[in-house]
Amino acid sequence: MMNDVDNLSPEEAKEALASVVNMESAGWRRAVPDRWFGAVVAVLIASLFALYALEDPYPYIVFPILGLATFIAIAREKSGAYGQDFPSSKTNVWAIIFFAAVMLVVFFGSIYIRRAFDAAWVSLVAGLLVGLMVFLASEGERRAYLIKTGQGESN
Amino acid sequence: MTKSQLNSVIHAPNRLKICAFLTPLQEAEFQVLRDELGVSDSVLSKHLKQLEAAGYVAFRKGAVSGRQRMWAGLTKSGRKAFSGHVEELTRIAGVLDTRPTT
Repeated sequence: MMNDVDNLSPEEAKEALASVVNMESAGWRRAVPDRWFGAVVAVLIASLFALYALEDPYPYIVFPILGLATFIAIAREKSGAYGQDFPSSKTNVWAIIFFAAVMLVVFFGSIYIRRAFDAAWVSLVAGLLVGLMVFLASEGERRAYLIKTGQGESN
Repeated sequence: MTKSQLNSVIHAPNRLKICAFLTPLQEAEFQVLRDELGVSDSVLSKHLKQLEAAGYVAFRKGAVSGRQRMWAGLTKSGRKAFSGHVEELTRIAGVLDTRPTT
């Protein structure tokens, strides 16, 4: 590849673009989250919801919250590289807003029903449901990353 | 030959590779970047410093198991400059940009 910015031939530009595609693919491969990462995050978030099955969950809810923050921080530091925190496409931003809204509805809805009808099982079902949603979302993200690296169809 | 609007800071092969690798990422560790590029520590440092001087790359220091590690990530202006550079390369090459979006 030449380094003459003012006089670049189409062939040299194609060569530069090929190197860009190769390195971006390498970046996407590094950004693919591990399956266990999504699973652990799902379990911690599910436990936060399920704790409301207890009569007095408030002394305990700090544990899954702290656990989640600590786990994400350690996993990132050990990964060597990780994907972007905030998606740049509008579709992905709306998907995150929708997902967060559903989580909030399930969270406050389950707390209301649990208290109104003294039904502890509602919090456990909400935890299970949210855990499943988070895991499936993380699997969806994993698949999207794999497609971008060109490995999506085989996984 | 075509008179172009390419970014002279990004255009150098290793700096182009650094920017391309960092595009899908929030941050990457120095050692990971070095291994992906296949260059020495000093060569990588030199290119990262040039990108940092242009405001395209930002650094963060972190510790893993008590060892100091340096992380690098593209800044907002770095992403914009790289995107513009690739658009110009695409125009010169006369091909469609089919890369996945971030």
